[in-house]
Amino acid sequence: MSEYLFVNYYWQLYDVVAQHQDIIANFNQIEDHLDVIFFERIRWDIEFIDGSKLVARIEIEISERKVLEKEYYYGYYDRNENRLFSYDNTPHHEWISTAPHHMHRGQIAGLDKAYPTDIRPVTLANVLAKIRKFLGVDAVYD
Amino acid sequence: MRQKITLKPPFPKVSERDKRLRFLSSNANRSPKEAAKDELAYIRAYETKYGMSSEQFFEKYPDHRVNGLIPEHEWFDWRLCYSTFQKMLKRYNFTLEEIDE
Repeated sequence: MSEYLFVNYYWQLYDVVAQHQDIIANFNQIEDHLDVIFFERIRWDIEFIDGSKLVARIEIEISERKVLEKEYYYGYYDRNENRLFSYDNTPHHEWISTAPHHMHRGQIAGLDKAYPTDIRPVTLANVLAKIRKFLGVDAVYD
Repeated sequence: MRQKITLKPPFPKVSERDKRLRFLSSNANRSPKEAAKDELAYIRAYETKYGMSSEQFFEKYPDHRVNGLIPEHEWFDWRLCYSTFQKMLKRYNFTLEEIDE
């Protein structure tokens, strides 16, 4: 049962990515829909039409017959590998209103400041929607 | 180490029926041990690149904010691979030696 839940989760995320394929140049999956069973995670790099890139790393687990995103990292980089923003839920910024969920902005310089997230919840769908706005592309692929 | 799967638009549309069939038909194609070996290869690549074991690295740099020593996304990727591998060893009762042979 849990295996099917993991695979189903994979395909749900695949469909989310496919909705944005008009802004995507390459969708790199380090593992396929079956690997999610062994590894219980998502490791995807998504390259966009302007050369920017989203690195998505999501560790998942089953709880009460549902797939939960236990830990995540979404890092968005420009074509020169400079970070534009990133989201993660590492619990090291307890004072932030959206803790453990938080974001970092811009390229790292010295101590990397954390901010409350500007999207809620932080999901692949919402991150991709933000990138779509960032790229100035309105229409969603159907 | 497995090759990345790269899709370029238009992505194939996969029906609900196909999703189920793909799952059922290829469920037994890969053993947990093969998967664990792949995982270890990713970890070893990071250890070689940064010149220390995963244990040493994460003891020294438990936080992803490591001031440019390693790109943030690599820190997260390495840690994810490492924690996944540890979970696999436990779940399938593998020893590091039998995976690393």
